[in-house]
Amino acid sequence: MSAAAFLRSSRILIVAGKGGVGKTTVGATLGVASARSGLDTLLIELEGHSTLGRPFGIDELPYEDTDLIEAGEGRLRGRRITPDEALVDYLSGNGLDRISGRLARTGTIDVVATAAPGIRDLLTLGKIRQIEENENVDLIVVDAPAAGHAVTFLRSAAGLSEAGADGPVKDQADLVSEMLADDTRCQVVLVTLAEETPISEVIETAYSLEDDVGIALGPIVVNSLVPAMPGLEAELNDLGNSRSKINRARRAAAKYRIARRQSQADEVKRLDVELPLPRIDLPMLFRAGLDEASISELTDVMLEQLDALGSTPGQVAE
Amino acid sequence: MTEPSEVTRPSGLIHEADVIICLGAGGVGKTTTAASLAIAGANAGRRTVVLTVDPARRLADALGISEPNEASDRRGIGGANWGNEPRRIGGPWERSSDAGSGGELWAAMLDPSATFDALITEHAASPEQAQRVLTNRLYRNLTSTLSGTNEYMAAERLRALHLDDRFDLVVVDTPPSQHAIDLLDSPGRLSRFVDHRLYRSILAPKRGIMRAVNAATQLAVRMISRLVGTALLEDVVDFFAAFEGMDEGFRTRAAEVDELLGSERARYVLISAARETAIAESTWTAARLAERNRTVDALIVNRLTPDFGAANLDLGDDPLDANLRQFGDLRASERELIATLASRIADLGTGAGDEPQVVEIEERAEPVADLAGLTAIADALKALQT
Repeated sequence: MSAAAFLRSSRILIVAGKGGVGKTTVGATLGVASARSGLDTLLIELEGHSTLGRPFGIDELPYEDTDLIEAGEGRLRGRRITPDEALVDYLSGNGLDRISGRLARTGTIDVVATAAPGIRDLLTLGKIRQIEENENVDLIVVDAPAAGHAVTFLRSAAGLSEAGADGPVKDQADLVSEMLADDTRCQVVLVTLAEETPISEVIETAYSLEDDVGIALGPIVVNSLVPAMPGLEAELNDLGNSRSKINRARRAAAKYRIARRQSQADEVKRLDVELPLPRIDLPMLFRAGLDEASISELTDVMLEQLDALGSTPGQVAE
Repeated sequence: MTEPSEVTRPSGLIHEADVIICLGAGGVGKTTTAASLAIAGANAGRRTVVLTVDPARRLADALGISEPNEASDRRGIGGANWGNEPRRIGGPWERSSDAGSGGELWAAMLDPSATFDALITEHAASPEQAQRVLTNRLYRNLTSTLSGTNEYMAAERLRALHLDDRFDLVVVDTPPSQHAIDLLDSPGRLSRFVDHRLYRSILAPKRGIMRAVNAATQLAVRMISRLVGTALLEDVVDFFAAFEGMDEGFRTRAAEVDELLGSERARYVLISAARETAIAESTWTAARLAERNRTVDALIVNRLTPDFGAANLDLGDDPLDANLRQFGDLRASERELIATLASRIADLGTGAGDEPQVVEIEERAEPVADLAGLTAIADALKALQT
């Protein structure tokens, strides 16, 4: 399957992963990859002050669509959605705009949210659904809440129905559940690092997303893999026991890279056994900042790897 | 500008703090760092307890708190409540040191539900009232749905451990919330929740008291019922009816917790990783802390690429040198981010130009898996002892 075919296989990609695994980086990369593939793409962040806009020179994405990049036929826009703003939107749409601003300000959303568990998440998902339904966008990439919360987030619609919600909330929950269950509309891209805790957590999250939410899983992205350095081991062996300053540094750095690569390879192997999903490997870039050049470099790798992928949205094998 | 008094100096953090609160974004190694800080505390001769939240399996093993933690056990009603109880961990810190008699290390895992249940039981007028609240569906959802509840329970346990005569230093690992700073807001949030006038007005008919409720509030009540339906609203009404009379005790306690978090006895350690996203989150957290007139007492940056000692050496293009150069470049860009963060924190501080004490912990090729690994990090944290 080509990258374009994957990016067109559903309307929404929800990018989820434990904090610190590079979920935002992967979200931005998928957004750019999609725009470069000629799709009209919308990148959505769900938390305030995230860094999703940074590579595009925007400190904080506003609530309104904002142009990020143009790429030939395709383009990338970005925005944020927060529950408070989604609530105000929702109330306005339900003829309650007179009080909506005040309710959001005075913490009334806490009260509503406690009465109806998951309502914040549902409001957010409802807003995404509304965009998917009404706006002319080819692909929506959502930077989801951190992993543990991703399941709660995506379970919110089903949870509210089970809790006995009725009225507009129940209607909204039904529409959202329908959207999440349809793999032509929605799939999840899980992101992890090749380290023990992130791998364990991503495996748990994957099964729980499939069993408890019933949402399709796209390929899993393993981020920040230390790239191979051909010839490194041979040269390390040739170093012998030289104790010069430079050779001590060379030896330590080479051993460090080899050990990191080995421990990452072990974790990837465990992932492949326990979670047989198509995999996309992104390299560690040797710079800490997240700039447009980094995203661009990762996009090249992402497109290449998507092109090499087989099959349709994945399923965790029994 | 006045010189900060001896007590407020961050340099002696491990000696001077009664409570150390670890703030940091997800994935920066906060739990590991909190455990290491506790070891550093014990090594400095203090009777230290670390309150951890959801530690990774191997870390829990290292701390000896890795009992099964099924949801049924967490659900405190009649269930086990092992997690909240601190366990003592033996180690070299128990030998007496320069600081006098030996230190102690204890670890406890936060059990938010059991903590909340204990609070209810403590404040209820009767066992029957406690039971009514504990079995209410809304209450049972509360720890997972009311944002800030887990944070408040961490703060509540922190206060209890602080008052416990067995300990003189409490190190707290904050829950993995969207924003680590939620811990500081949580007492206020819970007070506001049990206090909310919307609920008062919802309750008014049940109490049989006709109260003048302003039109906007009535509209809001109607809205809630319209939004979520009457079944859920019933649960809410039942919960607050059952809760009646306990709100005063809750508010008083929340105010005490709030006082502790805002006092000089509590110190704040910001934990970050040297990556753009983590640095951005840390900058934000430091700014929120400053809004509460608190400063970052120390900045701990985890997972810094190691220094292989090749600075200023002439490197070639062969794989060995290319490898050195790559990690050297990475480390340089990481340290640039750290310097930016430290200077931003300094700008936020009350005494202009006061940079926080910065401790850099280098990345290891292998993950920290045991007490020895934690002790190695604790040694790096010794800088916070002087």
